[in-house]
Amino acid sequence: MIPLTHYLILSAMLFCIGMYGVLTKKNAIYVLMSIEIMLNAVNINFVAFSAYSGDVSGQIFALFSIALAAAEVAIGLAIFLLLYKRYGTVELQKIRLLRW
Amino acid sequence: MDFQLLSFYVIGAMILVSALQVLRSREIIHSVMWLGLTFIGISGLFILLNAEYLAIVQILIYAGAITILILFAVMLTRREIMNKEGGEEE
Amino acid sequence: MNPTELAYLLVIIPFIGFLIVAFFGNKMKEGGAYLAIASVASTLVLSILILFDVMENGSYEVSMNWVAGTGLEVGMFIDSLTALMLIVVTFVSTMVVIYSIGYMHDDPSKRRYYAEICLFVGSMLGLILANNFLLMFIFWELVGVCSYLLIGFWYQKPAAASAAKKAFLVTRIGDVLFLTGIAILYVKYGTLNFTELEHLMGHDVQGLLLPALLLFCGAVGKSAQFPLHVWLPNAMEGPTTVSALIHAATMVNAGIYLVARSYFILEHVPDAFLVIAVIGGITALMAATMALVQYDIKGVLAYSTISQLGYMMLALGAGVHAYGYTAGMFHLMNHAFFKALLFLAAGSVIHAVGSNDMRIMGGLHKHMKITSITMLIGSLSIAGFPFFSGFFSKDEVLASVWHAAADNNIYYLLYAMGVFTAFLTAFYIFRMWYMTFAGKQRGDYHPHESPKTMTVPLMILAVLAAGAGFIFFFGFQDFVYFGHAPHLTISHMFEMWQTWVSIAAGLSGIGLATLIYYKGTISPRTFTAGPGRRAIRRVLEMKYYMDEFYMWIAQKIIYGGSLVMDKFDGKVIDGAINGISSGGIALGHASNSFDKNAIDGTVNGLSKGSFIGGKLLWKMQSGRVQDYASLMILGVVGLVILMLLMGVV
Repeated sequence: MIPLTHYLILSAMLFCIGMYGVLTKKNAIYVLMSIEIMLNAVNINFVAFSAYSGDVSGQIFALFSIALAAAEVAIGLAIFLLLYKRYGTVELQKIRLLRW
Repeated sequence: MDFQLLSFYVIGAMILVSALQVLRSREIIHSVMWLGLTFIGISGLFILLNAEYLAIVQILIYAGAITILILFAVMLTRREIMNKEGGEEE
Repeated sequence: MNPTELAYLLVIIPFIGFLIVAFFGNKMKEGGAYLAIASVASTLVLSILILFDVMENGSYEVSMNWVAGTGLEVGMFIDSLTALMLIVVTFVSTMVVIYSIGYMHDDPSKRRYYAEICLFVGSMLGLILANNFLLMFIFWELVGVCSYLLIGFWYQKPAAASAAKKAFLVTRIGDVLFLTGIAILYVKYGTLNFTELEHLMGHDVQGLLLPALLLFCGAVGKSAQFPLHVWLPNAMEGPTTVSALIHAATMVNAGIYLVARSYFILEHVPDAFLVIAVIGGITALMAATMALVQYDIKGVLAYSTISQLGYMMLALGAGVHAYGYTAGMFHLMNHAFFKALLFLAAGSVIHAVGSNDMRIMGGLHKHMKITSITMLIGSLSIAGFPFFSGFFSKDEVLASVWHAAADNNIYYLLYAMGVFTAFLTAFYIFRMWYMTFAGKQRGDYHPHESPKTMTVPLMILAVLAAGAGFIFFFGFQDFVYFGHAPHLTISHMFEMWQTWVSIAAGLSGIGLATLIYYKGTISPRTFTAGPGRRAIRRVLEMKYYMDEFYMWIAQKIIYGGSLVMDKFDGKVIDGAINGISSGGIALGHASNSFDKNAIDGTVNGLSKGSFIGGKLLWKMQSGRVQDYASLMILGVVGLVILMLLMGVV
């Protein structure tokens, strides 16, 4: 049997890769993909804990988050397409709507 | 080293490498492909964890739907704009 | 069905009416008017049932927990005061809504009107029924919102839109102070329930002056007392029916009701009574003088409302021993009847003439007899003509003020102001009546009597305005009182010389108005000729320059202050944009403010410090998503470290 820590370490590494992408990438599509990687890292944790504690609720949570992630990507892409239409760019550095 | 542990290391390495490749690729289409590979690797992990149903859902939704969705979004916009900054690393 | 459930229904029915009319009104006849009438009229029936129940069984309270463990609750408290207010509000509202069918017949957005009226009545009933200050405040604010919506009903007119905004903002000042008062009470006693508070105050009455005055400030805003009365005259920009509702039944009575409801607090702080009486007296006199120079028929009535509200405050301020409570609430009831009558009659006149301006009216008596006679009855009542309802209540108010003077000489002055106000009231109201109905028609139009839906409510109200005064001696004074009931009789009333003084004041006011505006023996110019008198007239016409004063405050002090801030802003931002030095500059400002802190005192420094803190925070707001994400991650990491250190994980 693989020790639980292996899964946790793998998921932590994946999470960090995703976080790095979210913080450094300029193109919004990349950021979105990085977020997906982070979400998957979290899912691994859920499922691993669920398998090692014999409780299926972890898997149910993972299912939820997959469904949510699908919706999130759809909406995120739609927003980016509109941003692109309106500002001619999907570069996050240039889009500063959050400031006033 | 038993078979399970071996396959865990192989799949884990595959996941990490393809995840890194997502960020490193210069071409956005390639990034999306690498992302799909990451998802498939994760579904392999789910099988190792005896969560077969989740593994199938993972492939269906992530590898099947989300990756394709991103691909379509990229292809429906002007590719060069989407790509221009895409490959740049910080 | 027991009265408990009736009480809940009272609030629920208008709200359901509101929802149905709001969503389906367009599909109904007259924009849902009949449904609105049905829901308001059913609350009237319920109120009558509750009144009988209270007369039989006394007060009762029902409540349920809202937020467990905090003492906050949702409940109803019903006693004689509540029952009286319920009757007044539902009755006048019913009349107004019936009247609206005729008045609003041609308005394209009737649906909105009836929906908002239902909401207005429902919130007012909730305010009256609430058994604690917090619930009362919630409905209080709802009433404010509804008045905003209704005053600005014709929002296409800029005047109406700005009047609505003004009403909302001015009353908001009072509301904030009211909320502060509630907070102080809650901190002190841990409950906001009326009965529990009353019980607790039996043991601890220290430091009640501040919360009592803060509660009164809320009433000042809502009931348009000096110095927050400025919103009420503008509030007539709404439809006349709305003015009738606001002035007679709902909005402004809320403040009076609040003061009456807080009597159990006020009785422990006699100083607060004095403040209330003085504010009431000033308001009554000031508003009455301003009403003298109005040419707008609704303007006269608006100022007279302020003045009469001042009367009620004056009575309430007379204190527990002088029966001010009974007198004030009695005047509130009578005022609701005759002011609703006057406003609705004025609406009928406006409907016929097509203008508010009294200078083009005149001679309307022969065209619209019902309106003219009902309005005459209302005028006689407000002027205090003997045996009309206003006569009794006004007399009770003045008598209670005189009574209070035994303890404090200031009340003698207030009594004199009250009597003079009574004279002015009689004068300006008859000036209005003569200008409208007597003499010759001065404008070019074809007046006609209003439809039945408008005249029937007028007649019903006229009967009450004329006769409601007698119920004081037959039940009212033994029903609505604080402490002990007064027990007055009519013969006893006429034995007092004060009664004759107020009769004389009322009659001489009517007589003077007759001489000037009917007989024409005295020219009105007698009062405006000469520079001194013209100056007085000018001051009155400009409403004592109160609006200008507030504008001056807003423009010079607030706007000027923000201009200074703006300059400061520019400097700091420029510094920030210059790059690396921005942090240094901010630090410099911070240390500068620290210096000033030491020199100029804490207040100055604190405001500067928070301003610079704001500036620093502003610099953190780059607007880039990823910067925010990094900060978020930093925060999460910090939390995790904290949890590790504390051994939570």
